[in-house]
Amino acid sequence: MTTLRYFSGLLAIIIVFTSCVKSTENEEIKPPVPFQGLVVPPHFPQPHYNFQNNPVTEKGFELGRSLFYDPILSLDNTISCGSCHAQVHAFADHGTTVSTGIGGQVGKRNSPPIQNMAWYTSFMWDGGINHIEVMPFAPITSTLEMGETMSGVETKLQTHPTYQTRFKEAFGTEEISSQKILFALAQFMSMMVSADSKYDKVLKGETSFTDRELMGYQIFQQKCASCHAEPLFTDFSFRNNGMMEDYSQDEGRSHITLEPSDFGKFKVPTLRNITLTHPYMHNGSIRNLTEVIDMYSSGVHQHFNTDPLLAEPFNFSDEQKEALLYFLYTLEDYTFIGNHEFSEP
Amino acid sequence: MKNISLVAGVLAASILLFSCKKDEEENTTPTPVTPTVTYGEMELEMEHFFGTSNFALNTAFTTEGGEQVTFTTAKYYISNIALTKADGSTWRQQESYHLVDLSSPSSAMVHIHDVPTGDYTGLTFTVGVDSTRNVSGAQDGALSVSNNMFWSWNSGYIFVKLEGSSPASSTGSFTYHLGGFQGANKALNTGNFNFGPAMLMIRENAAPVVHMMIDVAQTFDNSATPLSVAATSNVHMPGANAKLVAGNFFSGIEFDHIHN
Repeated sequence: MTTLRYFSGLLAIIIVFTSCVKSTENEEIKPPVPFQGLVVPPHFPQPHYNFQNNPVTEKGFELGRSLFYDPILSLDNTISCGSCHAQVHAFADHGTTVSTGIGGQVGKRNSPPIQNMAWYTSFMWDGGINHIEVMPFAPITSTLEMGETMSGVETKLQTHPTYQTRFKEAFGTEEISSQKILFALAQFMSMMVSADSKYDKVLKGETSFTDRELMGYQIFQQKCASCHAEPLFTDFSFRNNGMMEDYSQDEGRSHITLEPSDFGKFKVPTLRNITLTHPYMHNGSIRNLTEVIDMYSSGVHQHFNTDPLLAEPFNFSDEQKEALLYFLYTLEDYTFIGNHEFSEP
Repeated sequence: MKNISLVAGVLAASILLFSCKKDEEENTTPTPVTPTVTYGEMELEMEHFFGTSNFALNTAFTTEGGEQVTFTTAKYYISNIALTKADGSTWRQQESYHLVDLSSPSSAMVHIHDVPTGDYTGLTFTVGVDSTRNVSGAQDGALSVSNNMFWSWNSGYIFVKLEGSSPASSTGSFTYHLGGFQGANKALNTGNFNFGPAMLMIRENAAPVVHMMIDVAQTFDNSATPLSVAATSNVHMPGANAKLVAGNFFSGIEFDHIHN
């Protein structure tokens, strides 16, 4: 009898529990949100990449996401794009100076974040890459990074149990070509938009800066915004910021253009999520933002190619430095770094 | 009886049909007669030499400067093929990008189809890839980055790729990756090849062959701008050297003859 009572009690609990779960589920059912493609934030300009030959679809985006996180793109299947572009760091590397490729090899430049790529007119610190679709070709084939060939990637994906179906769903054909691989990655990357930081919310009138953040914003607008232009926080130009005395180890932009006037110039990086993408500069040589602000305040090396806007030291007060730092924190976008659509599937 | 009525019926129907047609023709204004365009095909055959010898990979040749060169790779793009008639009108091939790879003999026979029939007096093509395709993202087919003819770190196509070994080089090897689609370093070369007294006759059900001769030795032996492997053994990006060597390679291309 006791056992029976025990059982019936348990049964009752299960029924109640199941019904509870069921009703919760019913409450949570929402109409599915149709895939919208790239939604341009209202305070952003029109993107540079227009998907002309590569219209973004949910299946294409999801395929790009899988490829982004799949180490199959590297020669020894150990390193994915996501290895050096981590979402918690706004898709920059995990605080490392320079990134490590296959076989423990290191490059000479700091992994930049991946965000708002659809607005970029060129890629890499030296701007050597002219189109988002051919961007992944560089890290995949660099012997210091993923060390593969595109035909090697094609072959591996063609013999993979699921990718042929995925490519067919995304592009209507089971053919796995480098073009389709690059198209899928471009769809994923160009959808990665960061536009929901506190700064953005202030712009939209949803919240307001503190006094200290506002002071920092005003200093930013006076001293920094001519290169780190709003709302993308870069004007995509190449400039020599005088952070080095000697650029012979890495001449930057002039390596691409062969123009002596481009010597020691690097792309102006965005400041969005800048607190999460340490260390800083093309070679990752400055550890934190306090030191970066100190550098611009009084540590710029003056030589033939230093940007004219940095000819005079800013000589910020401690209060101004602190305010700038507080403003930079308002560019953190946790909607972006917490968005599961961009996470490892 | 049955048969007769059937025949009569068919006859009646035919007459009816015929009359209908006639009426229609009479009632509508005649549409202008457009000549029917017919199409044929052709081959563009690239025949490679080194001076007076037939060119081959992994074979030692000697330049006029006395330097020995052995090629392991020889690849180049020809693009935007157009055919010209005596009246000056031109037919342009669409999506006209072809990669000639000397390790794959079939790639030296460029098949061109859907050419309007007619008599053509000349041929135009570019060695390289036009600037538009250098800035338009991931391409397919001959222009796929999988062909290893695109610079990953400095976007743009390698128009001509020549690699091999040479005792004249301090490193023992030479690498000429020639490209550049913009500004002063533009390394695109376009040739207008006149067939002279010959005529390319495109006809339905015919496959004429235009023979081009490519003397790879001109890459080194160009009389105006000779290239010494000892002095320049490594060109790997757009610039003055790439432009010069690409120009030399192009100078070795000539129209030879046509088999109609």
